[in-house]
Amino acid sequence: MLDRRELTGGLLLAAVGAIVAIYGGTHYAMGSVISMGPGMVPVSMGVLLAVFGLINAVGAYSALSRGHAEPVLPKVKIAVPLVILASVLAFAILIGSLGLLPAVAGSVIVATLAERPIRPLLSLKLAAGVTVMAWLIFVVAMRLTIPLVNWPF
Amino acid sequence: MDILQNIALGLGVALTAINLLWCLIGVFLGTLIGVLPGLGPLAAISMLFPITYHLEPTTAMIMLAGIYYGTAYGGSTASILLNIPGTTSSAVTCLDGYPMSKQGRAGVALAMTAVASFLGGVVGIVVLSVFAPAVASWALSFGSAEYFFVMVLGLVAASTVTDGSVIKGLAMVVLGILLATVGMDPQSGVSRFTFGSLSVLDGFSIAALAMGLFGIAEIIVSVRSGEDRTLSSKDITLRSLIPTRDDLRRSWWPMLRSSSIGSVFGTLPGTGPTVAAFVSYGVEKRLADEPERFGKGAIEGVVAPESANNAADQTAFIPTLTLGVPGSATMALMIGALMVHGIHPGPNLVSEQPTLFWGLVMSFWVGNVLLVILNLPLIGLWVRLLTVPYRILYPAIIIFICVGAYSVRYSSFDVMVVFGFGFLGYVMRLFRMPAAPLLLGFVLGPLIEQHFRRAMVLARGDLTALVERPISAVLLSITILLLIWTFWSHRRQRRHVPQEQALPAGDVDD
Repeated sequence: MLDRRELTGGLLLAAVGAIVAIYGGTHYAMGSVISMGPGMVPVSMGVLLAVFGLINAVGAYSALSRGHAEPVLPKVKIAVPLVILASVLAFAILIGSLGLLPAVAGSVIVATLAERPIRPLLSLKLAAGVTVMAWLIFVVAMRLTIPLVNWPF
Repeated sequence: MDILQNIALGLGVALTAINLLWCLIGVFLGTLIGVLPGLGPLAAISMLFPITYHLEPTTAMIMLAGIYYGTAYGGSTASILLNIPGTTSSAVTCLDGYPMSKQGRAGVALAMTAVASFLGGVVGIVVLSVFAPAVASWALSFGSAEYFFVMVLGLVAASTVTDGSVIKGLAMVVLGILLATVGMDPQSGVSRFTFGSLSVLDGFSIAALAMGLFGIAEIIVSVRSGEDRTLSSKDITLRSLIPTRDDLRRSWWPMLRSSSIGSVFGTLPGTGPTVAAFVSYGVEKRLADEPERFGKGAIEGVVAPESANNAADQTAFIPTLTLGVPGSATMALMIGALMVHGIHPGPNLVSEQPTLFWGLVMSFWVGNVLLVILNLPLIGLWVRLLTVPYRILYPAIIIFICVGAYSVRYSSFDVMVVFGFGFLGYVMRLFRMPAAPLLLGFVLGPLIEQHFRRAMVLARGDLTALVERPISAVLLSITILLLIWTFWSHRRQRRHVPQEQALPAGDVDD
């Protein structure tokens, strides 16, 4: 399905380019090439991106016709990306509300959920270890002034 | 001769005990931070900034500079061993460094990057010392038109570097430029694509973008990939560091050429080690007899960017110190450090503060020597840092990335930026879109826009006037030639090697 990947990728790019160009063109002043308004770059680059995307998509067809496409269906991992991204999200949320130490610990625990088999004891020990290390490096050594723990009470 | 006197003066300053000590601290910290993915020189320097208040200005600069070019030495370590760039300027080193590592040649790659970095540093320092006044006045004659064409050339070169289709590379550059438009447009004051959010008025934090796009995406691809990402320290013995004669033979010219390219790009404000690394990689690939080796473990692909980025690091000080124009955010911090001590960099600095200028320049020699001494035997230490089993390592890397991103502006929004670009980076891997050109488009996009606008104002709307300027015409011709050459050689390659090469950044198929 290699060609289908190229096709989808190309179409996605084309769609993004078109959306950006349309939004930019309708919301921001274009000006002229001589005196460019804020909309000029978004529109021109959006159009350019759409063109490149289309070229890529068309290229997918010629690859197919040349017989270069490999009909292998790629398996897309869903769980791992979700968990890793969730751990970053957890950090973002926790650091504002609860402070550095809970954010580090929480983020690590979430991150370890991506691996199989899940080893809860290892997760906790790792969370503790990384939290201490983060404290040593960022607070003690680098003297970042991030609140360590914010009790919301 | 004047310059000998200055060198003597500088050495007298650089070799004092306290300056030696802080130089050592600086380069060591720099390498350490460079090795760790997620922390870059910008974050590190901004965090260590307050320490410099208590030091003499010369000492403070020596230390900060040590961190700065030290990170370039360490950054390649993670690029080679983990395919995660330790610093943005080492992103290109992943392309050939990681394949080398998979071929069991990590030791050679690491050793050669230390050598290449040293050579780059040496060339950069010589250029800095000899040409500081001359280069400064030449760069001053660069008008907006010239900057515009130079940057377009840089972007085109970047998109032709990838092994995949050039169209995808160009598309990613354009996407990067679009992402850079998010935020307040400096010339019209209009907020573009902000959707009411105040946090994004200054645009996406580049550190957060890079860390998400490269670091988080890499982690997503690696966890449970079945590939054993854990290194064994047995792989890297001291003997395995020694390159073959063939390696050395292949490396000389690339190192020299790239150091020169790096020296030039470092001088120009707005371009720096990252652009230098990209361009020199592209150049070496073009000039190689077998360009297909690139992306699969060509030693030239490792030494070229490392020489270039180190040379650029050194020459970046030329506009910073002689013009007071920072070439990058990090350089702006350096200027800030000077101003805290009441020193204003500019054309007068060299004449009014010779001890500072030449002391700093000579300290670069000291620093680079220290780095080579530190790095060759200590490769074992850095590697041990990265031999921890991956399932323990990757949460720690995620934390470094998150705290690093947060610490630049104490903003959890920046961590969300990491989140967003981590997602984007993964999707891009799924579709085999190269990430590196996106970064470059992001960095250069706003500058290109600015220079184009200014050039148009100065040319009073006459597009042809832009091209009539000799330097601009040359640059434009080079760009067009490069594009034609690339398409033509790709067409030729496709006839012989019909399958599209997988991007070395990692295949997402399980």
